[in-house]
Amino acid sequence: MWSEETRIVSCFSLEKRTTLYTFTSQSKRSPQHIFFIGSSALLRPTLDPSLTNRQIRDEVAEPPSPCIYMHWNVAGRSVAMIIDDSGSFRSYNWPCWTMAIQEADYTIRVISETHCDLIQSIHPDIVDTLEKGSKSPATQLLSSYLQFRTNHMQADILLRRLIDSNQLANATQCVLNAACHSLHEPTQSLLLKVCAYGRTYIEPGQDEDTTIAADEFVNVCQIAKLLFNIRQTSLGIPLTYQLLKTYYSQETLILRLMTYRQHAFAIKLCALLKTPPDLVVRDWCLAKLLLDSNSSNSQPTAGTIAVKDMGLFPNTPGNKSGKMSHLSQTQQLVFSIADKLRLCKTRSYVSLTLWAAKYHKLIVGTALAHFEYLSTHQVALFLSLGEFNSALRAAHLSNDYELLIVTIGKIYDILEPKRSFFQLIHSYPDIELTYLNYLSKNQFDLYLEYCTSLSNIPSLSTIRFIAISSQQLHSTTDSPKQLFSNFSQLSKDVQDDKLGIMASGFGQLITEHDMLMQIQHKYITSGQLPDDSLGLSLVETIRALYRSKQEPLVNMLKEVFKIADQRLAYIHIDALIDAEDWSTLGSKSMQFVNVLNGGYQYIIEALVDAKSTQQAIRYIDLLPKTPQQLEWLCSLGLDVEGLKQLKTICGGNQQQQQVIDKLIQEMSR
Amino acid sequence: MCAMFSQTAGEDWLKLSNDYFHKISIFPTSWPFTVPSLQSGSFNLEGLHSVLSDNGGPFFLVRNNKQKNLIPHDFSSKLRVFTSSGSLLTEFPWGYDDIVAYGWTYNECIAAITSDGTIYVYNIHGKRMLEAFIDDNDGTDLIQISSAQVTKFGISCAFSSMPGKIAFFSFANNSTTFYRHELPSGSSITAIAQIIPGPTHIADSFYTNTQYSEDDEFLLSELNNPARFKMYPKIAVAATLSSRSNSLFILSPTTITEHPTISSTPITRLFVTRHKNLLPCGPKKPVSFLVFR
Repeated sequence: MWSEETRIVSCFSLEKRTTLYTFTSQSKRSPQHIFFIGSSALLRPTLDPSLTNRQIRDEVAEPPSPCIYMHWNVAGRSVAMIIDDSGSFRSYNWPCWTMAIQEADYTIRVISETHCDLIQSIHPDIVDTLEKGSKSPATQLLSSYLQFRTNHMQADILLRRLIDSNQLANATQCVLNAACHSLHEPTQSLLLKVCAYGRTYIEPGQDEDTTIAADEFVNVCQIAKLLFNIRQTSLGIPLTYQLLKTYYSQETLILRLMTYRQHAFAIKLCALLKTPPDLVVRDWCLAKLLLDSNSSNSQPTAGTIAVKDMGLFPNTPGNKSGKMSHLSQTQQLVFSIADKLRLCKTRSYVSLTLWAAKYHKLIVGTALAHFEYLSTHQVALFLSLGEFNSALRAAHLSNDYELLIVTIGKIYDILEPKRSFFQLIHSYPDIELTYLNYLSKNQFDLYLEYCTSLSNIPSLSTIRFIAISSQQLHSTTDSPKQLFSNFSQLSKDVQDDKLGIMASGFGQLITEHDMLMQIQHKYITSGQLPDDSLGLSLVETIRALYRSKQEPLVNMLKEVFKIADQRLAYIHIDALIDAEDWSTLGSKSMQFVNVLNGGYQYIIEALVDAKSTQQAIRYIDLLPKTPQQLEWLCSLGLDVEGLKQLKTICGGNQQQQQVIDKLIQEMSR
Repeated sequence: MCAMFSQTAGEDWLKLSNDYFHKISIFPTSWPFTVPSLQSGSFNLEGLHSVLSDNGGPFFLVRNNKQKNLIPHDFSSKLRVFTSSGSLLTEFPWGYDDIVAYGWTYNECIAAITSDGTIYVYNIHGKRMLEAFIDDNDGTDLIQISSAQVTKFGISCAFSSMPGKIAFFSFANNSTTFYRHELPSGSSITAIAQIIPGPTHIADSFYTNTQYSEDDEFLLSELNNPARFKMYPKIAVAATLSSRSNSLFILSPTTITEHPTISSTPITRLFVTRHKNLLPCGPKKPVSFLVFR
């Protein structure tokens, strides 16, 4: 092809030493696709910073040969040519179109329809070691190793010769360099074995320049393995040792692997570099979220349910993937992301959650927010997702009073109509108590609005307390009606509209309180309530009715005062525990679990608070996840019970069971 | 002894001067069967732009609309990105017809400039990262790019609407710099090339230099430290002057060097080697060789 279509048309001097030849086609169709023309030290590996001083001296002593590289496609065929300063050239032909690029280490990458080829000058150490007829120390070491493999005595003679002439270290280093730069895997493997063989005979304590540290050797092996792996067809990254060590940082390679969605490999590379894999894991999570198309725009509440169904909580060991078959696709996605994020020391679910929300993966976003370990972040995330229930629970569990109040304030600002806000607070008794305390001291008007809105009639003593706390009234002995009239009078005296509104709300409260008093009176006279029940708050009245097993009356009160099912369930559980009515609690537990989102958690909490540990254990057993069970048992100081629980999940592993039995015996003593 | 390695060592080595060269096949390529023009036996790159990224990186193929009669009929208006092994990484619609030059940016994004001076930068997954314009501060509304070159650093271009003027758009700063030393009036620029620094060791650790960005899906643009690309390359310009002589100019933002009348024929291409040697080529032959330092 070359002689038929091209001829030399001109030549001229290059830096007084090199002659540049140029070529053109004899046919009318001149070369159209010259991709690159280079010059001067082309194809010559440049200095590697990791080389020792000795090697650098060697490199500098031998100036690189100037060469020209040309590549073009013509008439459906392709030619790459290297021309030296004397006009001699070497050419490589392809019978098809090719693309070519020169890399920073002067290697030429040529991609054709069948192969990806590299054209490069062979590293001097490879030539030194493998050149035909070479008698260099490296060749002698290689020869010694090959004889050693066949148990030939020539191996010892060759090795002794190298040791006696103090050339073994240099030879081993040369072989190691040759192994680094070799692109032929079997040859590379052999050279590394030769290097290991040579190292065993190098006497320790020699000059630092000549000895090969174990770390250096291991590093070369690891990089060789890495390069071999990324040169596989599936990845298709034909990097050379020179490129990776000198021009293309390994961190950048991690980025490219991330772009190719080869995250598992990128994490392995991080381990090799002793770098935290956080960035790769985060990118994997983002890519996973983007590719997941099954959890698109849905109600975020489903995210909360997804997490609760899985029984996943922060800091609990994860499932193995094999046990995830019963989970939905969204749950599996959330689980796998949360599981992978545990690899990150600096993990934060904030960005992932926001990112998921941005791309309408609300279920996943909400579920991920449950794993965030910083309460302030978690609450903010729930609020941003409109997950007010979860935000309230998170703020409450943080034991941070100010966070809880701020959270409630935020929800109050967002949620419309206000009645739904009051109902939300009302469904969490613990939170309601804290909030009402806050309101009674700081926002009495809102307190009244709250009570009137929900018909949440407090006890007489509470009303009196609030009135006094409001610093508007002074009497502690007045009846509610007297308090109301005093309050109304006061509001008129000071001509304060706000006080007037408060008085109006207060009036409604008193009216509802009167209604409750009438009901209480009716029940007392019919013997359905104890005599001392008059004047109790609504909650205390319901509790008393539950204690006396008057559930139909409770249902009537529920209708009159519009009480939420969730709140009734809380009161019922408390009442049953107070009455130590374990059989009813047991029979109704499933009913409570269906009403309360938290499963058996609340029942256990209430039992533990009431110091009914034995009963609590019964419900701990019903928790869906073993880690949760262990957490409860350990927190109750029931180490033996915990061990017994642990034994049940050992399955058929007798060795583990024996160890646990032994521990139980020791602790029982 | 070396006969034992005849299958690996020496057999395919070609000696040239004092060096041995060899060609080694790294892996077989696997072209997608969805594009018949890329299948084995009918492999044809005519009518396509093929642009390779360095360091073993990917390459992309896109229709060359200037050779409409050569474009394979089955190669749709998409930009396809492949690994070096020919595996299709991604493809996305590419509807720009009047592209003057393509290339890869320092963070492996695809860059292109149209004849009206619009610059597009897409990431490898087809998300548009940047759309910018080469806007002329002198108030010329319509500009027409005559020739351009895309390198890792940025895009240099010459205008047919503003003879002699050169602009450089930096990817690191996302800003345009005009090289103010305008060429003599009546000059027409025939070729342009950036003289970029030689290969340097990239050792910047992105873990220390990068702030995590929630907006970036794949973080690629954030993670490469662009600091080392924040420089203005010198630009070599070949021009035919009003006197019909062909000269070569080397421009920086502040200086200009002229190599007058180096050729009797116009210079149509300029090549810059990694050692900053400059090779101007005419339509038939190289005309001179300059060593630029």
